[in-house]
Parts: sequence; structure tokens; C-alpha cells
Amino acid sequence: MNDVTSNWIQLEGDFYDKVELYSGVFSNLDDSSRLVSGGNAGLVLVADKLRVTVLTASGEQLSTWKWNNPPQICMGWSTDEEPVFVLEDGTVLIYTLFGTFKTSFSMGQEAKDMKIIAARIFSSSSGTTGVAVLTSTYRFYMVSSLQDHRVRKLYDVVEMKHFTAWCPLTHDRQNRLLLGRGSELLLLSHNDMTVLDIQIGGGLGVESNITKVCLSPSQSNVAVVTESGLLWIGSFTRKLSHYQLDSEVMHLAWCGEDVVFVSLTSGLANLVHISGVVEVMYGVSPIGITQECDGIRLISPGFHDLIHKVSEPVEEIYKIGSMSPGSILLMASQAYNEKSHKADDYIRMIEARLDQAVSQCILAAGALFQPSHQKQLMRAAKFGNSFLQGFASDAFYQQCQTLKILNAVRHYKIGMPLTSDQLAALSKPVLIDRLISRRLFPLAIAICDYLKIPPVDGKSRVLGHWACYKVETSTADEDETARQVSSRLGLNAEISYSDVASKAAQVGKKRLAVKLLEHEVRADKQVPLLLKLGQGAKALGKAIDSGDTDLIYHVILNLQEEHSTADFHMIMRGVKLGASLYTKYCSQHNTAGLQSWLQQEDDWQALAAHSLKESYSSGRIETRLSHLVTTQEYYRKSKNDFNLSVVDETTKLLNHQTKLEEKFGRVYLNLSLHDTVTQLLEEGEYKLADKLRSEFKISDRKYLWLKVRAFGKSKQWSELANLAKSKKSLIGFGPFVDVCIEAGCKDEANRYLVLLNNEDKLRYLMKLEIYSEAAELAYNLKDVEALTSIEVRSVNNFSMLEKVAGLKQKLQSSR
Amino acid sequence: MSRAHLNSGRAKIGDFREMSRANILSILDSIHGNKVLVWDECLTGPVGLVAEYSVLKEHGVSRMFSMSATGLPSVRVDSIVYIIRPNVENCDIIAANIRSEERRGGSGLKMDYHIIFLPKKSLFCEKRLKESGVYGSLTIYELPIYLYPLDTDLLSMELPDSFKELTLEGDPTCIQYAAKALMQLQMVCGIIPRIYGKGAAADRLFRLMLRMKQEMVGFESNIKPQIDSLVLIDRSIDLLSTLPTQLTYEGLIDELFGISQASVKVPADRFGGQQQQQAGDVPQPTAPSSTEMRQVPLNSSEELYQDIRWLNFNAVGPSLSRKARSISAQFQERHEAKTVREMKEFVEKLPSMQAAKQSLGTHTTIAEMVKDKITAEGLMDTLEVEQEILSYVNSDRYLDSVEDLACKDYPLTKLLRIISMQSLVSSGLKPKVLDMYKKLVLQAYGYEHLLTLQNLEKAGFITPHNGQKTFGTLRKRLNLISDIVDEQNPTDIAYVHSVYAPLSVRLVQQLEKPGWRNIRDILDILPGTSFEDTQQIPTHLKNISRPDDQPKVVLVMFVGGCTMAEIAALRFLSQQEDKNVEYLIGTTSIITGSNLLQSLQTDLQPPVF
Repeated sequence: MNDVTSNWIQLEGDFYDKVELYSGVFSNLDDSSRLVSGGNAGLVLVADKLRVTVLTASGEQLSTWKWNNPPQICMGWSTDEEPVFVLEDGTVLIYTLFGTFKTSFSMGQEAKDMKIIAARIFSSSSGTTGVAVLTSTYRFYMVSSLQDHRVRKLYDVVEMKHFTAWCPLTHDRQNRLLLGRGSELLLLSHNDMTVLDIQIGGGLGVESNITKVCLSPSQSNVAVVTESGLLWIGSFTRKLSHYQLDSEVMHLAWCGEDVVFVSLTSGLANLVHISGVVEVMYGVSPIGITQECDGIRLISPGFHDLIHKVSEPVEEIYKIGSMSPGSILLMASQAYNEKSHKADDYIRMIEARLDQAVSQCILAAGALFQPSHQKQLMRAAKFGNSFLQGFASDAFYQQCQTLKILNAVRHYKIGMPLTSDQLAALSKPVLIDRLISRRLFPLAIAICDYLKIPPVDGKSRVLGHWACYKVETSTADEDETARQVSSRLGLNAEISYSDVASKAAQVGKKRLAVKLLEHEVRADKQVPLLLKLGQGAKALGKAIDSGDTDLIYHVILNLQEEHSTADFHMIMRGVKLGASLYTKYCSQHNTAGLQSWLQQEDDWQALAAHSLKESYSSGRIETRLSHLVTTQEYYRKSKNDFNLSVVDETTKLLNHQTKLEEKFGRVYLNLSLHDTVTQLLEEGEYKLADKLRSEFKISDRKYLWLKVRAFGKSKQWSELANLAKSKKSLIGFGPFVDVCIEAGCKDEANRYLVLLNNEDKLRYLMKLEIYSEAAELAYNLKDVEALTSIEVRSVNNFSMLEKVAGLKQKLQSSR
Repeated sequence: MSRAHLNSGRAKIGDFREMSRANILSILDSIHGNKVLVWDECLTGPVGLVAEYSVLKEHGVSRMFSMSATGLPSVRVDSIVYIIRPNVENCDIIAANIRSEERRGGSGLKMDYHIIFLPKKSLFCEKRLKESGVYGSLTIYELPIYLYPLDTDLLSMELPDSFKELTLEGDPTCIQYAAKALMQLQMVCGIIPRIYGKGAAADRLFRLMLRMKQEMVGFESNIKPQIDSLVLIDRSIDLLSTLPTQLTYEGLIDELFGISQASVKVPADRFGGQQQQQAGDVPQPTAPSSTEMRQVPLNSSEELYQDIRWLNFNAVGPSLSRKARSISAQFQERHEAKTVREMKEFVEKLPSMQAAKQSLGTHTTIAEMVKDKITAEGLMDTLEVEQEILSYVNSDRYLDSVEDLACKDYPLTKLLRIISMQSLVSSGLKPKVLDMYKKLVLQAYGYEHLLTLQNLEKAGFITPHNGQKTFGTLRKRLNLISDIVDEQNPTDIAYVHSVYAPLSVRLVQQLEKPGWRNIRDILDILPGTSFEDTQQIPTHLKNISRPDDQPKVVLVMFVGGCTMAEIAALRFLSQQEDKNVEYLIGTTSIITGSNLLQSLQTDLQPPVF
């Protein structure tokens, strides 16, 4: 049990532990190189003037490449674990883990012209990677994301002094800077500057310039070092403690929220508690230090260590003389394993607090690094849990899972010495991302499967990345690579073959890309890429299979741009759906294109329709007629005799109408044939009407209709009466009555009533409201229904009501 | 309007609506500041079914406008949000809007522009926007709403042009949307185990669904199946059923006034003193004037409407007066209430009684308006001609009655409806008769309708005789024409057109008895393939046993639209006690014969001076 506590350091009431993560590592680093280790047990970036090297936390080299650029002012890791460098002229360079240049951007003109003197790479308030720079003119510029590099200038601090001490402050949902100016602390945002109302001093009243500032992991506490060697610790509103250092500070970092770590040029290091208690450490001279969310990691030649606060359950269990339930449960479990009866005694001691004991052991196991310790604790937890009907099964299971993952990634071959808290901060999906970007595909898949992550987010996704990697690096011939990739991936809708294919296209392996795309099930991803790869015909086929018209249009317009008209028409001809969509598009947006396409296709019918439309879209009669001539030609070609005759008639009518307009100065154009004739009749131009009638072969019956309606409308009652004289009408005499009623001349209507048969006469009598006669007729026709409706309509006419009632009664009695 | 009733059915339409609503609100929330929505006009109504203005307001929408090429009204907001269907015209208008706004310099404030494409982003549109140089100043979103819930049993895609696009332009966009809609519905209501279909468009739709299923491996629905079967009906296998005048109450309202998004606009003056408004979201009209329109919601949450909507109009009057008697009897009870307790019971019933009274007033007024319009539009003449054609007496003759209508300036669309009916009933017209009808139309209404006639021929409405007697066979085998229809107490779906039973619904009915396999010969004389298939359900989602008393739920999906009469017929079938089937209806849009034919017209209008 001793070995758990052997490195513990007591500070105030808390214990801190120094854990040796890896030893025999980083021993060959030379003094001139700089070293930055990423957060959450990230990778280590080592750079000197000539080379950049990426190492794992266990010192295994991942990649190394020659540095051909000017020296870096600052380097670091993005949140996606990519190396980021900031150069003197404000250029930000981003590489992949394996040394491939990815992208770059500039921090603005002023940075470029005036050069920068300091820079910071930080995790922004929204979780993206930000960059802040200080120019030689003492202005700050910032971007809050590497993806969206809009450079924003920070508030201009007019009064220039040396700002050598500054760091980004990213809580409260905004990105600001905390900086030391003289002995003051300032908060700087885009449009504002606040001087913090706190006194940085050691009580002696001696003010001296701030040389270093450092924020605690939660960003609520600040540690400041001044020129005079004072270490000041406080919050944003008040001082917590201070400590006078005896030599110059090399590294300053928070170890958790309560302790500040400083390493000095003298080779000593101090842990300073916020209460003011100090512990001196000897032989600690790190060359790199990383502040984590729950501690600090120190890299020194030969070693990689972690200093962190001993978690409460661990302390409770292992503290000397501890009688905590967890501690006793651990003893009970050990006694049980030794087959000692004491096990029972111990269990009895904590019977009432057994649940607490189990929880303590489970939690403590997660905080320890040695698998043997973890095992002891988990065994104890299991032992205790067996008395509790499985109360903590879930927590137990979860912890086993977490430990298995932690131990797997801590292995020196992998080199990710994560603590439980760091894993929680990083999240499991991001851990898998990191494994993927380190190309540790088998481990990533094993973890996904172990965590039962759905294939879309898990195994399939990893395989997709693997495939991209394979495609990029494989030196085998392209067909062979395609075969290898697809045999491993299978026909799997969860894997985006198009992503893999676009990778292949990116590295210039076109044939491979096309082959891979064959396996893609989603047309909306497949088609655009096929187009990019110059596979127009194939893209069109796939787009049509998908039924997605938007995609088809996309392909069609692309093909049109890339091919000569003749070639384009050839391609379209073979594809019915494509052709009809193209026709639709053209008829709305490209009439010239439509004509050439239809001509190509010998589609006379459609061409005729097209020129007919043109004819109607023109205001000039000559243009209209000439389009009609074209239309006729097309209809002749398409052997559509009926339509041809219609266009003939259209032309004839137009000519007539034009003449009529000239002659009478009234509007005739655009009237239908019937309306033209009707208008002539209304105006008394009977001869002209007759002429049109015979020319257009209007039947007698229809002509009679037109006459009746025209005479009615124009109230030519004598003409109407003449029509009725023939005693026999092809359309009956109802329409005669109707037109009179419509013209509001009921008297005229009466004249025709006698010509009607009785049923119609009754109907019209009702319509004319001649109820008395109607009632008699209804009686004669034995139409009770009609009588009733007369009754309803003459509510206020008592004599009528009487009459109808009498007739009704007569009818009923006669029945 | 309360939407609680949407979840009252077996399939949870309300959940489906909720999904769409969450979708739109989350997009709005992701756009910062206060925003103005600029609408593609055809979307205001449909989207309003999913998220009302009041809700949009709560999510930072300060005002709403219709999109217009003349420019944006001047407003001071952070964001302009366009909600549009993905088409080129809309993109061009947006581009013009943004450019003119930039030229104008705006209000000095920098506004952000956003486009929400509904239901789906479009590469084609994005390309267009790029070409007009405004793409950079836009943020693009996609709002995948494919189906709008009109009622507990009715979902519409609100794509009124789908039939035209399919048949005239060969543009299958609506089929793709329908496939997406059905996949989406299955995410919420579970996988539908049995699928049937008839017609080319149905077949295509089914194939696309299979394809999408493949794309979605790994994202399957985890809901137990709420719908037992899906029937896909291609409108083009049954054009005839769209044509006869619909004679149900709801059908007539749609024919005469036009129902959109489950509500109708009618002249407000007829409602007289009735000032109270049921719908909370409809703006309150101030003093009704003669031109003022009143919006009346029409859905099953109103009990009276639920009872009469499906009735033949001739049965509506008696039904309303029965209702009136029962309501006044209820009000009479107050005189009989003696004890305090009886009084209390009466008072508790009061609000619902008052609502019933008001609803009665509304529908009495609407029924009167329908009646007046029937007289005014000479609908009785039309019905006479329709019945003459349907009863198959003068199958293939040039009808004087049609000529009479044409000479009386009868509305063209309605005339075309009648001629189409005759053509479909006779399986095409003799060439001579066909030409005479065409001449009649062209001479009476103008030669500019030539292309419209051509379109109708292409879509299959007015065609030359094909030598078969399809309708004769169908009529006999499926009993499509009933001479004796009891309009008051119907026993068969033929009551919806008084003589004619819609073929589409008859086919759906045959699915239960005797089953499509036994009417193969009938299915084969209709155009397009017919098919049946099953979809695998994961074992853990299978309904172990459906209680016998629970009816089967069948979703009937119409590609190309369906009429209110067809819907009424399906609802009638759902209500039959012995049938044991509950129908859900999906459609690309709700149509009437007139607006269907109108969508097929090519308007040629010479410019006016």
C-alpha cells in the first residue's frame, strides 16, 4: 500500500502526487530546441532552427521534417491536434501530424509590415483554436478560429509599455486578453479595456513590472511574477497570497486550482498553495511543462512526469491511518483473498456504509495509474458490491470500461497518459479522432467496438479514414488499391465512399476515384465528384437513377458548359428524362437553346408550339402573321392536319379582324371567332357576319345561337322576333327567353313563352315570377313540387298562397 | 388553432407535425438577431400549418413579406430570411433584391441574408446564385418539410403542379419528394410492412423508396409500425374520377370557393352579426364590408363539420336542421333545471353548446352560399350533362348540350371538364367527334387554346378513340355507376358524385376484398404496372399481435393529387363498421377537376395595347 503514497506531498490540507508517466524518454533533446506538449496528454512538438519533430508523450517519434521557413515566434497545437506555427511576419502555418503542409493565413497587414514580437495559440471560447499576436507597435490582433480567419484588432492601448506578460482569457463566451502593464493587470477585448482593481505587490509597497501571468484551469485565478521576483496569487478581485522567489522564473503554471508551480533557474522548483504554504522540490528542471485541467505534466531529459492533486477517494482510502469505509473494504477484500476470517469482521464494521465504500473504491481506481492498484480496488468494489444486490453495477461497469481504455492508450507504444478527468474533458469521440489522426486504426476500431459505438460513428467511420489513408499512401496500382479498399470496406452504406474517392482525386488518382465511386450509394455525393473527375456521361446516368431532378439539372448544365453543342445534344439524346428536363429548362430560361435542340431532334410538333407561342407574344400584327407562317410549316412537316387547319383559320381571322378594325375603328383583334361574329351582329353588320359565318363554316345551329345572344344583348327585339318566326328553332325557344331576361326585358320574354312546351314554360314562368299562371300550369302538369316552390316564393302574397293551397289540395284529392 | 386533435388518430400525425415545426424553429434560432421573413408566396399557407405566425414571432421574427421582384420593403433588421421553393425564378428575384439593396446602401446597418430552401437545397439554384454574384453574402439552409398535416387523416405535399410536371413536362421532381415524404413519415410512424401500387408513377416512387432505404442503412426508424399498409396510386390511372362535379359538402365548397390549407375564404358580409372568430391565428376582420373575406377553418376538430363534411350536399340541409333542433332542445333544458346541481350541470355544458351553436350558424351560412352559387353558376345544367355522359347512353356522339354550353359563354375549364369526361368514358372520341369538339372550343373561346387542347390530349384527358371499351369493363366489374343512390343514408361510395363511384377508391376497396390478386385482369387493363411488396420489420419492433378489435391502418398515397370527394369516399369506408380498416390519405395536393385542368392550360395571351 505504501507505493501509492510514496510520492505524496502534503500542502495545506491536500495531498499532491508526482506520477512517473514514462522514463528513459526525451533524453536526446538538445538545449537549443524548443518543446511544446499538447493539452490532454497530447503530442509533443520539438523544433529547432532546422527541423520539426513530432513525438508522442512517451517519446516515440511520429514524424520529422525539415524547417524551410523563417524561425517561429510561437508554436503549438490546434484543438484537432495539428501543429501550428506563427512566424515573425504574422503568417500562421498549419501542418498535419505527419508534416504535410495544410494551410496558412496571415494575421494582417500591420503584423506583416511591423513584425510581431509575441504570439499565443489558445483554445477559444467556442472550443476552436485561436491565435493572438502582439506586433512590435504594441497592438494586439486575434483570430478566434483557424477555419474562419477573420483578423480582429483588439482595443488599442494608447499608453505604450512593455506587454511581455499576457495570456488569452476565454471564459464568459468571449475571447479577451489578460495582460500586465507595469504593475497593473488589464483585461483587453475588441472594443474595451478594463484595469483590474487589484494591487500587485508584496506588502512592502514596492511596485515592479509584471513579467509573467498565468491563469488557472478554470480561469478564475491568476498567478503573476514580477521583475523583483515576487510571485503573486489572486483572483480577479483580490489577492490570495504571495511568495518571494530567490531566482529567476523559468516556468509558471497552475497545478489544479489551488497550487501554482514555478521552476527556477537555480534548479529548484516550488509548489505554492493559495494559502501561502510552499513546498520546495529538488532536482526538478523541466524543459517543457503543460498545464492540464487537473495538474501539470513535466518533461525533462529522461522523464515525463505528472503532478496532480490526489483525488478525494484515493486520499480517503490510502491516507495513513484511514478508517474510511473504502479503506476498510479494501482490507476486507485483501483478507478475503488471503482466506482470512478478518474479512467478515471488516465487512461488519462498515456494513451500514458499504455503498459508500464501494463507490469510493470504484472512484479511486479511476484515479490511479498502476493497473495492479486499479485491480485491487476494483476487486474490493466487486467484493463489497456482492453484499449490495448489485447496487453499483453500472458505475462498476463504466469504470472497468474507462480503465481498459485508459490503460490501452497509456501504453508507451501509444503514449497518451490521460487521467480520467482528462479523458472526460477530451470525450471519447475526440479520443477516437486523435487515434485516427495518429493512424492507429486497429486500436481505434477496437475501442469503438468495445464501447459499442454505432458503426456510423464508430467502426465504419474509422474504416473510412483508413481507406483515405490507404488511398493516399498506397503505391500499388490503382485497380489493386481499389480492390483492397473495397474488400475491406464491403458494400456499406455507412461508409462514405465519396469521401475516400475525393481523397483519391486529391492525390491525382483519378481512375481509383472513379472505381471507388461505384460503391457510393448516395447519389448527391457521388454525382458532383464524378463530374469533377470528368465522368459526365456516368454522372448523368447516376443522377437519373437517383430520381433527384436537381442533381440531373446540375449535371446537364455542367455538360452543356463542357461540351460543344453538337456533342451535348448527342449525350442528351440518349437519355429521355434528361432530354425532357433540358427541354423544360430551356423553355423557361433559354429559348434560343430550345429551338436549336428541338431542330436537332426534328421535333416539329414542339417547334410548332414554340413558334405559336412566339406569335402570341408579339404585339405587331406582321410579326404575329409571320410566326404563324412558320408554325404552319412545322405542322405541315409533322403532318398534323387538324392543327394546320386551325392555324390557317387563325391567320384568316386575324386578317379579317385587322380589316374590320381599319374599317370601323373599333377593337376586333384578339376576339374569338364567335365573339367577332357576335359583335358584328350586335352592330347590325349582318352581311359581314354572314360572310364570316360561311367562310368559317359555322353550323346553322351555332349561328342561330350567336344571333339570339347578339340580338338579346343589343336589344334588337325585332330581329329576335324575326328569328322566332320560323316557328321551328334548332335550339328551342328557351334561349330566346333567357336573353330577354338577361337584358332585363321581361315583357319581351313573354312573347316567346307560347312557343315553349309546357315543362319549359313552367320553368320560365317561375323564372319570370309569373306565379299565378305558373301555378295553374303546374296544376295541369300535376307538379306538386313546383307548387310547393311557388308557395315558398310568394310568402307575402296571401291570395296567391290561398290559390296554391287550393290547387294543391285539389291535386291531392284527385289522386 | 389547436392542433391537439392531430394526434388523436392511430398514426401520430401530430408527432410528424412536431418534427417539422422543431426543424423550422431550430433554423430560425440559429439565425441571430431579429429577422424579417420573405416568403415564396406558395409556401406561406402550407408552412403556416406547421408553425403559426405567433410562434414564429416568439422566435425573433418581427415581420413577414411576400417575395417580390420590385425589391424589399425598407426595414431595419439584423437578418433577412427568404423561405423559398428551390427554383430559378426565386433565386433571380433574391439576387435582384440583394443587389438593389446594396446599391441603395440600405439603412446603413449591415443586414445578413439567409435562404431557407424548402424542402431541399439545390445545386442548380446555388449555381444560379453564384453566377449572379450574391452567393457569398448568403447563408443557405434546408428545411426538409415534405408533408403538411391538413387533418388527423390527411397529409398533403402542397405541390399543386405535380400532375402537370409529371405528365406534360416529364419532370418527376414530385416523385422524389413523395419518396422522401414517405421515408420521413416512416421515421415517425414506423416502417410500413405492406406496400401496394398501381401506375407508372407509383412504381417509380416505390423504387425510389427502396433506393433511399439503402442510403439510410444505419438510420432506421425505431418506432413500432403504426401503419399497416401503403397503397400508391398514380393519378394517371384514373383521370375520370377528378372530373364529375363533387357533390359532398366539402367537395362542393372546394369546387365553388376553393379550400386551401384546410380553410376556406368566403365573403364575410353573409355572416352578419356573428363576430366571434374561432381561429386564434386568423387576423380579426374589422367591420365586414362587401369585399371583405372571412377565413373559416375546416377540419375535424369542429364536431359539426366532422359530421357533415362527407355528406352528399342534399343530406346537409336535413342534417343541419336536425342539429339545430337538438341544440335548441339543449338550451330548453335550462327551464327544466330546477335544483342547483342541475343548474350547475347546465352551466358547465354552456361553452360547448355555444360553440356548437356558433358552428351551426357558420355552416348554415356556408351551405346557403353553396346553394346560391349552385343556382348562379347553372350547376344543375352541368350535372344533367354529366349524368347523361356517365350513364353511358350516348357514348360517342357529338352532344348538342355541350355545344349549347359553349355558345352560352360557359367557363372554358368547365366545358373542357365535360368533354374530357365524355372522352374518358368512351375510351377516346371518334376522330370526327374529337375534331368537332376541338373546333367548337377554338371558335367559341379563341384559337389561342390550341396548345391547351394539345396538352389535354398528351395528358390523356381528350384523346382519339383507342379501340377499347375500358370504361365499359371497369364500370361493370367494379360497379362504378349506381342508378339508385340514397343520398341521405348512403350505402356505397357512389354517393359522392350521386351516381359515380370513384375508380381510385374502388381499387383501394378491392384491396381488402377480394384482394388485388383476384382482380388482376382489371388492374391489367389500366395503364402502368401494379405491384405488391413487403418491407422487413426488425423483430423487436414487430407488433406481436394486433388486437382484433383494432382496425387496420392503410395509407393511400395519391401521386398527382386527389379530390375531396375521393377523400370523403375513403372516410366513408373508414366509418363502415364491418370494414375494419381505417384509411389515412396522403396526396401531392388536393385538387378539383377545374384546377387540375387549369394547371394543364397553356395560356397564350397577346399583349394588350
